Amino acid sequence: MARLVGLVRPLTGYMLLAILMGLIGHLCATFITIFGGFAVLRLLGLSDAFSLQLIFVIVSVFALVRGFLRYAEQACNHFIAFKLLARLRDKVFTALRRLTPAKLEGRDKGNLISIITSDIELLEVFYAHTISPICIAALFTVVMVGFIGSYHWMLGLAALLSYALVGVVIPIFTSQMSGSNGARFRGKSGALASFVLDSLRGLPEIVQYGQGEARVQRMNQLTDDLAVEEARMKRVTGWNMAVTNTVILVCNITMLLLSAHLVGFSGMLVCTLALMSSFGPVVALAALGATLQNTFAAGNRVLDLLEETPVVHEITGKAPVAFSGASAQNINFSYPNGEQILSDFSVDIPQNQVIGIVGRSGSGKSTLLKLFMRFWQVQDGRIEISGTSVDDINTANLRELEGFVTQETHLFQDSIRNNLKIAKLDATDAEIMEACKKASVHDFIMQLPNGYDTPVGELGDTLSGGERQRLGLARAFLHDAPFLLLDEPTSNLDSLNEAVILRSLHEERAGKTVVLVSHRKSTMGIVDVSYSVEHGRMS
Amino acid sequence: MGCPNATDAQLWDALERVNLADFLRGEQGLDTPLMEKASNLSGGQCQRLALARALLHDTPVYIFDEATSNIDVESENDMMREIHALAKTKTVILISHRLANVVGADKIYVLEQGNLMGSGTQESLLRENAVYANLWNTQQTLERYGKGVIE
Repeated sequence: MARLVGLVRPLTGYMLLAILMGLIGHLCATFITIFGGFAVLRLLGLSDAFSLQLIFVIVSVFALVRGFLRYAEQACNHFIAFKLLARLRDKVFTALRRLTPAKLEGRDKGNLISIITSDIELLEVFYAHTISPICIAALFTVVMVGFIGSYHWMLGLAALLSYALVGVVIPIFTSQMSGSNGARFRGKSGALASFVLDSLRGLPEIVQYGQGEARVQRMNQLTDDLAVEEARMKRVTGWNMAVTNTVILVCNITMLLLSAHLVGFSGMLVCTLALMSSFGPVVALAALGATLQNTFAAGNRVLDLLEETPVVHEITGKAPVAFSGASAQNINFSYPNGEQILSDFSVDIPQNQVIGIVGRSGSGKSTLLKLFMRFWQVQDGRIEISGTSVDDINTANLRELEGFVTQETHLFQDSIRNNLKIAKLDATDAEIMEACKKASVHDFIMQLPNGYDTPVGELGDTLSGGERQRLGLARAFLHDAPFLLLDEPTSNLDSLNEAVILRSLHEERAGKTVVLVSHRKSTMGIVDVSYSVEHGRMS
Repeated sequence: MGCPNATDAQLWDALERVNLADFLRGEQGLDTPLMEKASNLSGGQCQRLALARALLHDTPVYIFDEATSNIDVESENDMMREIHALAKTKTVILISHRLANVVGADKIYVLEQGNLMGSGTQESLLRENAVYANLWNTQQTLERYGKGVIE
């Protein structure tokens, strides 16, 4: 909680402003009723404190101010929340840039996505609707207890107890009662949505195999399940409201009786009115109970991510290096989960050669490429580029020297041209077309209605694996690095598409040094030397 | 879905024929859960599973519409082997842009822009149809890159 609140520090001014406005707003609302009480007392001749005109003026002012302050307070809170979210998202993205690509290894990706989307959104609830209501309720309670207590200390105590009951005890009780209801409901709601989406996507299969009836039945069943959860949640909410309202009523009656006993008529009228009209801020706290636990969990996940240390650090300040070959010497490497991937592994990559590395899945060949790219740190041994250890080469320099093509090419929601340009931001159209011709994808692009300006988003799913891989290769050709690392570039492609990629690589290998990794011997047709890897060792 | 009353033995038999049995035994067998859009399976595994489902459906006619395009070579080989075996007892219509897939067919129909350009066996088409022969040679040269034979 403390760390989360700490993130607000730059916006403390706005936070205090919001709290102040909320406080004054609530006081205005409460005192409208209290001044009504003064008016009655005046009319009964029991009080000379304020004239009737003055009371009416004050009440009107309070009413107007209340309206304005309510708006301003909400605006402030939301301003703070969204400003903070923007800063948080920026921090998280920066942290991810430090931590990847190593962080993206393994199955954590789903969790990462939920951290950067839904967890951060849950935090918006925390910042906009939690911190300030709590502070306002606390300060308001102090003021009101003081006001009521000025008539008699026991009345002040009674007021304090009433506020505590409604604002603290009941919410705690409710959140324990509702327990995991909210999470279960969200889970079932998500399951129903997935099922409907799945059924829509698989409509051809459902029709073909005559599964329509069964599918509808299952959908009805899931909907009924969901309705049961929702009914449960509504019952809890109903109980909550009933109990809260009853408790408030009891507290009011208690105050009435107590104040009648302890102070005169005027005191009783004012104190009872005061208590009756002051439950607003504490009732607002009741709604917080349910989501607070989830919010803290989300906040902790985000903060953990921000504080995580990366496995490799960016290197600067070293002398620039040109490419003249690469080598791995006596490498020992295992991933954080402990599995030893490479043992005493060595390989020499002379300049201008095409080296093939073949081996089964899990034999360590992909890991070797990642070590050349310095995504991870070796435990023993050296990885060298042009005779210099990769730890002594500026990271920016290394990225210029190396090109990396993997099994799947990610394309962004942008035009084909821009997707290729990320390899070389100042590339001319001629250079882009040249790279696409080398990758045998230019003809395909030219027969599209908008050519290079065709948005990938529109094609998106309809771009075949072969077309995507050829675009990935075009990117690599545009980047024009002297050292090309290819990690199973054709493993998801059928024979024809694979052949196209291999032919492109074979015809464009002049002036490049290439390492081609595959689990298929047939891919080795275009290499000069091929090595076999088994269980992290050369064989 | 292919055969709601199938026994477990029949399910495993279908899986063996498409070479998925070993993989699934390494997972949770027939109870292995599939994620949304089968994202926990590769493209090739998805297609093989779809083939297993179709085999269980056990109909007299099978239509394969580019069923092995854009999946890995190993899956493609497994599926084509099974499709050719199927043709011994069922009527199979195989649609493909890769000529090597249709070589063993009893009759090949060549379509272009919605028109029938020729029909016959592999040998007769190579002899009589220049367009087909051209396409065949182009694809064969290309496929040599994948087979490790470079001129």
